[in-house]
Amino acid sequence: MTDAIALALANLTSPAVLFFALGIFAGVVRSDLTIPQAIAKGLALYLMLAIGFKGGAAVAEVGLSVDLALAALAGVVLSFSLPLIAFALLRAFTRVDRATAAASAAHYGSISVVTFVAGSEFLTLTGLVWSGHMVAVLAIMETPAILTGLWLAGRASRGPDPEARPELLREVLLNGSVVLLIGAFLIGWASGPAGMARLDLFVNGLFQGLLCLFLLDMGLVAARRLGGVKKLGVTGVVFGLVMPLIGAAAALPVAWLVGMSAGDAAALMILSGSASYIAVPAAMRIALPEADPSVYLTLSLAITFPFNLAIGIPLYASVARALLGG
Amino acid sequence: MTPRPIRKKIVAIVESAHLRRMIDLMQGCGASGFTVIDGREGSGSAGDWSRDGVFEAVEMKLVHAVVTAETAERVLDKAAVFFQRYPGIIYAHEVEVVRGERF
Repeated sequence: MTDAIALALANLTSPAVLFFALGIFAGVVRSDLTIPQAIAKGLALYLMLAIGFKGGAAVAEVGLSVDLALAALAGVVLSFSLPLIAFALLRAFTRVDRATAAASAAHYGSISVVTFVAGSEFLTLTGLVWSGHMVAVLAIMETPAILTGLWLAGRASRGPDPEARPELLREVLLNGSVVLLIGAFLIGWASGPAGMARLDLFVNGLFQGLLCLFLLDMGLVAARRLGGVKKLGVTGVVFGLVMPLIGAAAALPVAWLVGMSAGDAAALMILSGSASYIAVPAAMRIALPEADPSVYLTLSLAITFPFNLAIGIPLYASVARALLGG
Repeated sequence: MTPRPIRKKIVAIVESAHLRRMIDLMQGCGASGFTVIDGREGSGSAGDWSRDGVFEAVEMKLVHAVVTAETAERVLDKAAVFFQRYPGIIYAHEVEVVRGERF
């Protein structure tokens, strides 16, 4: 228990979390601090390239095993099913309409790359070893939730627009983050330890610093979204705090069933507890334009992301370590 | 001075996520060219929006096209259906052009 508290404190005073807090502060007091959009996008690309490459290189070192297939299966099951819980909770306890609830639910089944990036750094720093193939699980979990969300919305009078289907398909299968993440994973895998030696400075040495810069921007963006909190109401905010815990809790037995190590289980909990804010919003704007983006973006960015970064990640890591052994 | 040809200029403001469909709609109606401009920030019936870090999908884009009156009629008819569901606006007005045969 004291270990868990020490971990939580160590997390709260890590540069990454503090820079995120600085971003929120600057945004709330309306400082003119901004990160140019092109740089923010470049940083997001960097993080995906780095995490994908590191995961692939790690897989090259230990080789492929049935673990990857089992972990992928676990991820797919969670991504498909978590939106059902999220949707039921949103409909029962908040006033959001069906389309918005379905779109928001999809965000909670899908994953946030940045939460995973920050979480995996935390796991590494605290000595929980996670497998490189969890990066592949990350990429795989992005999409199934979108399908569940559309199915939930499709049972309403106005489902997804059939005319938008080709565009949606392209967005879901070939959106930039998925292409870069999987591409970098395959490149890391193909080039192995030799490739890792060459990119070490880029994907490891610079990683923490660039993550801090990106989180500073995330803080600024989250602060701008805080205005939407009023619209969510108390129950909406509570949903944004409880749903990540439900997602992470659901991941735990699944991780145990497929025999994951404590590190991988913690990574799966982080993935299941996180909510997407790039891939899913884009898909939802295309397929469900009547769903209110200010609801799902506020939930995922201004509530769930900060919660996971500050409290969720160390909590999931402690629980996984306590129950599955470190 | 000979009067210059009159054409219609159409301006559509759509979300990035629907930009491709708006362009396809215009070209499908016979627009021979168009120009897209990034919106910075704004407000409308669906609320405020601005260029926000990494979320392209909810940013707005302006699509400009200069077309003949008949093409404009077709575009606006189709757009009326489009905007029943998607956020954004579209409007058209007359403009003087040079090299009228290009539109």
